[in-house]
Amino acid sequence: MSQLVFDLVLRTGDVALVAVALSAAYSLVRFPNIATVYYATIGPFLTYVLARVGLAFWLAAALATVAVGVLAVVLNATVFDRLLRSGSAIAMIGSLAVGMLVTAVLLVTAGPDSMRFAFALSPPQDLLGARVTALQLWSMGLSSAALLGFALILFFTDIGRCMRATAANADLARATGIDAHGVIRVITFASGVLAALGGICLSLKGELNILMGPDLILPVFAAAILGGLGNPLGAILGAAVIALTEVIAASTNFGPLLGQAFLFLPVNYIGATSFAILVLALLFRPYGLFVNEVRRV
Amino acid sequence: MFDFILHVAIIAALNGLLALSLNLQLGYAGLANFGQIALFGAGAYGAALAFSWGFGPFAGLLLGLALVSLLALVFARLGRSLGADYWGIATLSIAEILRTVATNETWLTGGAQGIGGLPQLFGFDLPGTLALAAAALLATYLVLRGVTQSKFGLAVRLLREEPQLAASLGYDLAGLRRRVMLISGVPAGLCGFLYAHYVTFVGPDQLFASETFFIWAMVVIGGLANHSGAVLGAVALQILSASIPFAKDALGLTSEYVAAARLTLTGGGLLLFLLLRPQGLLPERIGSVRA
Amino acid sequence: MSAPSAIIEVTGLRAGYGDGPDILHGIDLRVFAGEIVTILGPNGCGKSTLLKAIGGFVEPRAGRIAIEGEDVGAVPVHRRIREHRIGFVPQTDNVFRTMSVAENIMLGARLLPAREQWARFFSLMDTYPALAGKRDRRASALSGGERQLLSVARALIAGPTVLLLDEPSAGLSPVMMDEVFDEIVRIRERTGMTILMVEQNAVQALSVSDRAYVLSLGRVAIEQPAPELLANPTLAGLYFGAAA
Repeated sequence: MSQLVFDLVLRTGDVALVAVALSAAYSLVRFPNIATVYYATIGPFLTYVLARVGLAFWLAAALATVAVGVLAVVLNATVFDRLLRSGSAIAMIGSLAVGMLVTAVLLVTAGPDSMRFAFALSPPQDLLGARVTALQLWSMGLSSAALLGFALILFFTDIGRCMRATAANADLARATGIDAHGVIRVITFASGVLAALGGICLSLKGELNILMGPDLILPVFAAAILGGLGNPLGAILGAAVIALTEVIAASTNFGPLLGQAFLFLPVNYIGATSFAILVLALLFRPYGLFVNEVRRV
Repeated sequence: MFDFILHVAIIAALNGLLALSLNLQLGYAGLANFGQIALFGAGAYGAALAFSWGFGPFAGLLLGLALVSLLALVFARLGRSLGADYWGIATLSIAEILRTVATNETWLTGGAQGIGGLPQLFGFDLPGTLALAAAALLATYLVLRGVTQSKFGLAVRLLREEPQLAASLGYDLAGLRRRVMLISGVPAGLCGFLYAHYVTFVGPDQLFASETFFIWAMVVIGGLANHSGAVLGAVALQILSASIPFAKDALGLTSEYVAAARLTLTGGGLLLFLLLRPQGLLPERIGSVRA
Repeated sequence: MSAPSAIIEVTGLRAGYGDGPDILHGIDLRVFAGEIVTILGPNGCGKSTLLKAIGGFVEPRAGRIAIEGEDVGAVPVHRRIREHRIGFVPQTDNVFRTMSVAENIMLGARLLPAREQWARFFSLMDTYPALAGKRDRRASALSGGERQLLSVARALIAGPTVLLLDEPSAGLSPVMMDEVFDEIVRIRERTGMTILMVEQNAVQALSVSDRAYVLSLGRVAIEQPAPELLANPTLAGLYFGAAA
């Protein structure tokens, strides 16, 4: 049982940071920025390169996340802002095009093979009845700290209140003396940082390869939409729902239901459960599980 | 070499069908379908399933069109309650779900191995197949041009530009969307059917989301809401894409560069045109409606 | 002391939205310190556009907007609001719906020293007990009148020199409407603040104002002290379609 809970938390962490990044950016720049999942690919690759040239891992990771944050701000100013004037779907395909270019660059520079960070692999240890590796714990700790930090900023600092105010009503925010453009730059930077950290946490306990980004698209979108696009903390709960479904789908024996001894969902379908949740969510709760006011058209 | 040129021409014509189909949705109706490849897949798997059950190509075409129409209706139904960006995500997800099903339901679809051994239509060789694909492309072009020049075409553009105005004028938006999806499903399904019988094989690897984005690039580069533009985009991108391996050999590059070049062609082409020439090579002609 | 200086001075202002036609065709307007001034006019005359241009939401195409003597034509909204201490209350969408009542108000005070923020907050809560009782509610849960009040409180907490109100009585019940106009008078009595408002409800607005401008088709048709305007037959013409 504790293994199940542990898997659940770990899987939630995989998706949550990037989903929060996507949702936070959407709260002010109103299109689903697919490039977010590619920021989650660039982050660990940059960290890897910086660590290879001799920087300590934490320093490499810090530099990489800041660099990705800056990249996100630059891309917003040069590409997405302009595309958004032609509509959210056009900005969305533009963000996907950016993602393709990122993949092309990584393919040529880093190659298609998977890589690992050069940490000594320690055998899993027993923690409260679950088998856990040290890297998994590090990954969990890092992503929890990042999520907690972001939540604290959002609710207990001036810039966080300005972010929420601008997301709620940009014109009124300006009329209250808030520099809305500045706030947009800050939240774009934060979304780049969070996405990069999400990618680093993911690759810390596994591998890094150029398909990380594309593989994240649907689970991340599912989590962000379940939580309500534009509601960053909702995305954490969305990620938990996705993780719960996947863990249950993976570990439930459906055999007795169908009169067989053992019947588990084929491994390949476990990823597809998040797609299915996404479609169900879009059909029945397109603006999130937690919406408590009617969205005006 | 001549065979290769014929092959490129056939694929270009087939891609032209997909581009015309997406152009009707995206260019004319403003429906940003991120799951276009699934419409193709429905046609292709229709042909393959009919073949594996022992039916002839005609039954395969009918089955493919039936599957395509069903999927088009699902897409249209989802569009009723969703904004453009949400609908994009929904169509992308459905296409990915279908690809996962095609990969895993081996008893039905042959799984990752797909279904092979489909016969060439009418026993055609390359020139014959090219003639068939070109005829399908021409017919689709003429039909869709007629559609967009009709009153229906005007309503569809109104759906794109001023949906609220269209609704207030008494247009049935859900009905318009449904008809656009059904009409554009036909060439996409037809393309899947012709492709299946041309390469004699259908498999889930043909259904990757990246294929959808390749079609998007054709339409955006060629010119949104311009039928000739969609065909031009399809032909141009197919020629460029087909010449990548030659460039690789000439420059002595590794195979990673081929994949990277195709991504750059699609992504870079999309981005350049969206930013610098959003109307595409052949812009939409305003007022091209015979009411 | 010289003649009273204008807090807001608009000269020859032409403005419109996007690529659209001019909505304002050369407006001249002045608001002096401590005045309550109302802008009246039928729908589409450009009175809301004028207020938005003064706030900075609409860029001038020609002419000059000066606040406290400084030409602010090129100054972005948030800096105008901060540097000239403007309180702006929009007509619709005038609260941060996803935030609590207290957060809404405190956003208006964010540039003040921390201790003063809370002192002013509690004094505002004393002034508006209706809001005090709901300070932890989401703004989206408030009634229309309460939202109007909340928006005024958010604008007042910073201690502005001038308050810009866009149709403060729009959409309110007659009782709430009286309440709003009474409050406008009380605000001036309490603080001596300069107030410029746009209103549909001419008679009530004029009864609390010192002066008024009547706009017609983007031009100033009349500028008069409020009591005189109340007795002016042209006003009836503009509003009730009688021959002017």
